[in-house]
Amino acid sequence: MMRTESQQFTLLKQQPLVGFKNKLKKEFALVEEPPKTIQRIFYDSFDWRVFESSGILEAEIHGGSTLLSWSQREDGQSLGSIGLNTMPQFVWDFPIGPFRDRLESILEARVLLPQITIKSHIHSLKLLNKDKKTVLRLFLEENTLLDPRLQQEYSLGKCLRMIPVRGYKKPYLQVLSALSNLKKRDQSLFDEALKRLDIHPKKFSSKLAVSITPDLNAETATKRVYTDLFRVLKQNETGLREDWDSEFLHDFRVSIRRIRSGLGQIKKVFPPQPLARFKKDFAWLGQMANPLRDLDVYLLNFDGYRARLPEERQKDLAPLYELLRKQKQVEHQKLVKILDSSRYRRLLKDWEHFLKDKPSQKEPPKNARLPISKIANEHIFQLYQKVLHQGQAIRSDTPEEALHDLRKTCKKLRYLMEFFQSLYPKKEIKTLIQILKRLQENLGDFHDFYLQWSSLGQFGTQLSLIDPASSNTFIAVGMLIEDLKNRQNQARLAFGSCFKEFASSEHQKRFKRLFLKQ
Amino acid sequence: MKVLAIYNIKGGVGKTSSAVNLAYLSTQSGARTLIWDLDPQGASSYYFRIAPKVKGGSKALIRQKQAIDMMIKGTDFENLDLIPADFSYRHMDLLLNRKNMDTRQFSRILKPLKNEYDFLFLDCPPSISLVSENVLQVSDAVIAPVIPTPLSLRTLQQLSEHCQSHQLEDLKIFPFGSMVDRRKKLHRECMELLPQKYPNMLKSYIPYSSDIEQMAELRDLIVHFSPRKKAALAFRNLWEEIQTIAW
Ligand SMILES: Nc1ncnc2c1ncn2[C@@H]1O[C@H](COP(=O)(O)OP(=O)(O)O)[C@@H](O)[C@H]1O
Ligand SMILES: [Mg+2]
Repeated sequence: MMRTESQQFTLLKQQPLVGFKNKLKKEFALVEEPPKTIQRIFYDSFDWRVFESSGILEAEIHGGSTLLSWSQREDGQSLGSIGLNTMPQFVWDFPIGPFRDRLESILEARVLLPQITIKSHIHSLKLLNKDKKTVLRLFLEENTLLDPRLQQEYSLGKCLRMIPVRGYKKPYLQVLSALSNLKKRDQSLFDEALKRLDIHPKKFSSKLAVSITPDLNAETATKRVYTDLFRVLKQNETGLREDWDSEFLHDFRVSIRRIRSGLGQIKKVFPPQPLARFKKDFAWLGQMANPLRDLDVYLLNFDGYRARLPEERQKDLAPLYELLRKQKQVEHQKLVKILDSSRYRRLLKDWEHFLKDKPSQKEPPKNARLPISKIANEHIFQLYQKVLHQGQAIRSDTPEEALHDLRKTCKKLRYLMEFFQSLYPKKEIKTLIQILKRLQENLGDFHDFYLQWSSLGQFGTQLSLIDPASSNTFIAVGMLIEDLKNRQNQARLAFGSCFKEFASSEHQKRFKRLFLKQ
Repeated sequence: MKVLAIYNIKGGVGKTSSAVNLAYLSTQSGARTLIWDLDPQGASSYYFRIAPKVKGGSKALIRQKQAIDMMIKGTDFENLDLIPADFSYRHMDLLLNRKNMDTRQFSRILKPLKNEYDFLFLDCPPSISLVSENVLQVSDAVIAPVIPTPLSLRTLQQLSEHCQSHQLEDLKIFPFGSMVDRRKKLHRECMELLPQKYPNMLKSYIPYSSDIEQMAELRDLIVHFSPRKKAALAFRNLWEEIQTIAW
């Protein structure tokens, strides 16, 4: 559907806003609001999720109040606005309602950070019809961009914004034609600010972004993958240190796990030394980050835990929450110490050198010079077969370890498929990743519920030792553990059909077609 | 999109006053909101200073000759739009009738708007008709203003019977006190009685207030022109309550 679009015009620097406004007022029946100076802060997550969803979140701060407006970046169409006393950090700090729900599906657990700040001086005008109904809005603005990093200001010049009211096209066209001598602005304020600050939202994504060609040699191709994983690791370090939100650690850990998986799976491409050393050090780093992540998971799930208890028991979980929160602070401090350690610093430095080193000239390892497509196909298909074998061996009475092993193999397979995605037709590799993902979800549930009930049990015991009078909490934790065990069992029961689906002959054919090259 | 019908079989009970004020409060809480003025008298349209006419009238609307999109007007408030009333809505029943008593025509008409708005308020005309059947069919909840008198109890009864007899047993009706005058014994007694008979009765109520009457003169909403007045605060509480049950 065609909507009347909002328009923006550039005004000359020497054009005084008041003079221009008076000229407009002479021509049209405009009503004026008192001019105001406001601060506009554009919020987004570290990885620019709102931007990625084609949206803009703009907080207008004027006096003591904040009006948060959410709009579409392309056409400025509003997605809702909400008045707030204080700007929420997380989506769960917003009042319950559609605004929050829609935003939650985009932001999830990510913190909202002030990304761009603009100071605006605004004259607001509206055009009224004979019923004194607003049929068009005009804003004369002078904008200044603040660069917090350099403590500098840039002028973004003066402009006129014209916002139509839906269903009132005629007055819009009239005013538009009267403004035909003005120069249209081809960029929104927001886009111009991004450009001035040299911000490229895509660069902050934790998604793997490597593109390799099939005949690239294995050594170079693998290093490209590692380089991108290293980018993600480094870029999440600050947020992790500062504990902005739990996703920094999550993404930090995922890149470590991916690097480790690559080091272990992609064989005979790099010499045994420094390979062994990197394997050892990244394993160490991963291990150091585990306890904090586990606590994050319990805390993120906490509302869900509470909701699964009978209402009168829910409050009894409060001491557990407190314990987890405190424990988290302790673990966070520990991890920050690790990030400050010389072992960590050395690892980062050496790894970076290793990635930048030219391919070794003499006696490269056996697979280093082979085309990456061959290596990728072989490794992926081998792992795929391993998944099939391990899965087919699982019966209803098979010990749990077998499922854990299968889960790990699946993860390795998944990482390899993702590393080398760009070698395969987009649609097909995506479908196969989805097929694998469904199996992984089942195995992940099985494992996560296990992990949760076993450690929550320990916390429960710890609580009762600290405060022997907290028997209600102990009971509530006990109920929670029962529930998690039940859910783990359900995941186990569902495994059979999940695996059957994964291993169907139709899906097997697909894997063969893509990865088994003669 | 959640559809809330502001409905009562009786006229003059505060349907329109509630619909417009609640719709405004809905946008304030971050929702993209649409209000459809279904009453040919066009009181909602009047409050928003929007001409009570739609292109092609109800015929174009129901036969979907004109996209519903084209009939939407922006109000003076951001994120609050309106589909105006039209004099031809008087005959909407006849038009609906021709299509074999189908009560799902509204759903089809509204479908394109599903992802564009969070809440749709239907400001309904009084009476039971094919229009109201269509309204109830598309609604997620009925919000029914009632003046606390014995007569209003009877109309509520009729309303729930009407829903029952049209396979709408699952449709929840939420009555709330409207134009409540605490000085009147009858009102006080009825306000006691209503929640007993209707457990869905909302706790918030709108007091009788001359400030609300002023709306017509100012062509503005009390929650906008006097947000601190008692009646405005009452609407605010009412909206909080409705939002919790409807969202
Ligand atoms: N709480 C109230 N106190 C005083 N007058 C009210 C109140 N609510 C509505 N009115 C007045 O009663 C009349 C009918 O209200 P209205 O909202 O148009 O009812 P309906 O839409 O049900 O016909 C209007 O004149 C309106 O100003
Ligand atoms: Mg009315």
